Amino acid sequence: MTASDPAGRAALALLLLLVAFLALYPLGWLAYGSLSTAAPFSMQEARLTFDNFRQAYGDAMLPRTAWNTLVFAVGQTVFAVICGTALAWIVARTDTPGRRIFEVLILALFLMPLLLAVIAWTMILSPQRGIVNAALVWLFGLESAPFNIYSLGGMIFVQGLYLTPLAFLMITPSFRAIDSSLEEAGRVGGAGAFGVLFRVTLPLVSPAIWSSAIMIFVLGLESFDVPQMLGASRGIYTYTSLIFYQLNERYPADYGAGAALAISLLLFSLLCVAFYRWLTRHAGRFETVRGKSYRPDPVALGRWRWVASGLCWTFFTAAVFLPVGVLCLGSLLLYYGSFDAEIFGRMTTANYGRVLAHPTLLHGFANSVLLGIVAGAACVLLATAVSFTATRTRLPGRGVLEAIAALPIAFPGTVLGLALVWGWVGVPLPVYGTLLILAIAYITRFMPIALRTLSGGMLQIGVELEEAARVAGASLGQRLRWVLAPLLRPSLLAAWLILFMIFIRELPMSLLLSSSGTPVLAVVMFDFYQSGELGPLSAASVMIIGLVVAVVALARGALDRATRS
Amino acid sequence: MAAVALRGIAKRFGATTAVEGLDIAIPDGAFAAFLGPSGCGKTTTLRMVAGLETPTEGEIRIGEEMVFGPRVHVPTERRRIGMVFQSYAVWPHMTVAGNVGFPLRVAGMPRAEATPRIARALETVRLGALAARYPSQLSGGQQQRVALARAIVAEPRLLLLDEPLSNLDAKLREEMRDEIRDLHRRLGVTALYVTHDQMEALALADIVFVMSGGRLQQAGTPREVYEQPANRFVADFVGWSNLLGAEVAGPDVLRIAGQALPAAVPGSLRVGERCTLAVRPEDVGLGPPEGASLAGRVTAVTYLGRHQAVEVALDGALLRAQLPPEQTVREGEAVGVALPAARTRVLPA
Repeated sequence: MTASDPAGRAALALLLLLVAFLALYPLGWLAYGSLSTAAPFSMQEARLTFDNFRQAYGDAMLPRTAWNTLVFAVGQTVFAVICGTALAWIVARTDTPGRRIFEVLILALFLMPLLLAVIAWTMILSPQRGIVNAALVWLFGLESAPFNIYSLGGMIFVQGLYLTPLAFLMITPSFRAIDSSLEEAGRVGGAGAFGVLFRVTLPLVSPAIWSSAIMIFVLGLESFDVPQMLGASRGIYTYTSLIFYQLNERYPADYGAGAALAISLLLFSLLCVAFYRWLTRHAGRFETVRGKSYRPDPVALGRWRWVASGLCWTFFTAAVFLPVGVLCLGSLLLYYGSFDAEIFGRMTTANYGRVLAHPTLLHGFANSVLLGIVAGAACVLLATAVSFTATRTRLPGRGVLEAIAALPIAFPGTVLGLALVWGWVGVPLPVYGTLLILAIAYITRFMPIALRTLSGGMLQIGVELEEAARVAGASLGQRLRWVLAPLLRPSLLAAWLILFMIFIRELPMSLLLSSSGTPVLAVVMFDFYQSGELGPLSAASVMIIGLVVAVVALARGALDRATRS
Repeated sequence: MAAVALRGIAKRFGATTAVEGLDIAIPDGAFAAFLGPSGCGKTTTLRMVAGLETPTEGEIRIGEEMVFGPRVHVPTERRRIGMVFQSYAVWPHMTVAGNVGFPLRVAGMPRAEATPRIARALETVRLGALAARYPSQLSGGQQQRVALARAIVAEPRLLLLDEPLSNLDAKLREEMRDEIRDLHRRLGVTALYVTHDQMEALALADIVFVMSGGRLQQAGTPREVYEQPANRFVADFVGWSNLLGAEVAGPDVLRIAGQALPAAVPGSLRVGERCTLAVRPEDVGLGPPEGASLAGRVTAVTYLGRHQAVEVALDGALLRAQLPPEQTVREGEAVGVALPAARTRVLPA
């Protein structure tokens, strides 16, 4: 498609309109809301003022909240980046036994819904009922529980643990791309294995480490699940949980102050993302230059490799086995919290029975799966259209289209959720209060992730493959159907799977936008958590984990078939 | 089958000019080669003929049909052409037969009619036995044959080839080159061939267009281009690697490095005008200084087996010569240089 193609221009204009509507319309309302005296679509007369900002920032809680947010975001970044870098180095560059298993385990960790991980960790390290706390008290005869998960440290620990896979995935390719002769030159120069690591290897991968750090810092700013579930009940607020507090725990809800906080958080997050883009602006160029693949020789760690292996097993025990084990245990107990010799005698499957007979949970489950499938597919289609236009045509405005579609990577879920409340609550269409508003929210917020997943696949398909089809006389429709779609199928399936996984666990927007008539899984689970029903909660968690594993296994089969043909 | 005509074609990307003021006519059934270094605009020109790039100005005709011009832009898919890409561009998800049959399939041709044509196209490139294979199971040369079969299966009026041999190894390249020439002879289809390799262009083409800096430098038969380069650029590109600054001293006499040399001076150059003397290294003769028209001094000798490469300083100018291995020359030796008028070309400066 060239600039002079009128059909192409019309299609682009339509796409641009749709994407701008998704990403920018709610933001406009949010900005208005932060300056308006009236609640969304109330009959009150609205004046424009800075009172909301004055109110939000005059709040006695704010300095403490800003500090907590910063400590939390930085702390979880440091934790995740250190663990992720260490794991990446061990897996990609050393001869540590078990590297292949660690790689599989880290992907498993990536799939673990944060919501479930938080639930599990409260069952491990809560001062009252945590099993590890109880074990430590018993072992060492302590007066009180040594750890408290409901603290800033606990929040940093849990969040950092589950963002480690992201750091790992962002850093590993850089480790793999290092030509091992660079390291060997360091050895020849007289440095030991660890000397080479700190003087040669780490400096070479430092760009990847920094960019992953910024990305994870932004995710920490945007994080809602962990601060809300571990901090808010103990009065430890971050920006996101404070916004939620303004809307849900105050009566009457202060939408103005919420919007004022949301706008400031959004601006800060946009700034960080802009910095990230600037930092990684040359990343694409590097990848194309490095067409050659090295077969790097792993660094021989000698006896240290057993230490490395032990550290990895400790990490995965903490991140995967212990939480899943605790959830399984909790799912079999009617009351979780006293661990004595008779515990096995008290085990029952009653919790599973309760879960399967729970109408709201089943309804929420059905809604989430429906959204994951349908809204996920819609998001993949829209992202494909955007990615195709941006990479495969020369239409003017394609860059703007891609930029707007990728913008929501900087929208914290709480912020977009609130913005959508402002934007839709008074619109006399069946959107607000239905599943449609959730679909809009999910599609908008996670479009950048779909774009990222697809653009890799899109770029792999040489432009000539499509040009050859044009020369052969194929129309746009024929090219899409017979050339592009079959070649893209693995990427499309992968993007759909990733979105499905994200949609069924999304919490902050779902909390703000779902109604009693449209429950979704994460919200029902959150309500269970709030009311402390650990038995059914664990049973449901175990079933969700089982479902996630089954879906991934099925999808892998489908992906393998799609890649092979 | 169709003639191709480009009139006043220009292509600019923002401030940079890829192609400028291109006027080209290719007769029906001819094999035309666009020859030039990378970045000279040859591929852009081919892609404009294909419709994959849009000219900034000018007209393109294929046969009687104007495919690009004022308010005319026939899209690629309706130009009825075949094209072979540098990267082969065979579709990895289709079999060989699927790839070759694609142009027929998009045209809606019934299977019964298409199957024998696919078989015939595959026979033409000697791939009949591999119809059911996938491209990943083929070698580079075989993939390029698939691309060739796909380009000719629908009997296009024009065949475009964009450096089709550059991804093949040297031996295979020569073999494929001869095959492409035979194919053209048998089908008689007008062909446009882009290459940076002068040997390919000379071996294949009826007419060669030498391009540089987005402009046409010379159009002619391979013999004309090779033996009578029109300017310094073409001379250098086809192997006239000695280009010496000179001055017209009189009718058929040049002054070069302060010495007089007989040469065929074209009528367009006036006495006293600056010009360039072009000569191939293999046509430079070295002998004793006595009685020679030019005097020089040997500055370097490199023995290369079949010949020796010699550099001679000519009062400021440097001349490269290729001597038979048995002739003895020593560095620092004073020599007489023979540049026979029949083997030199006098070009505008």
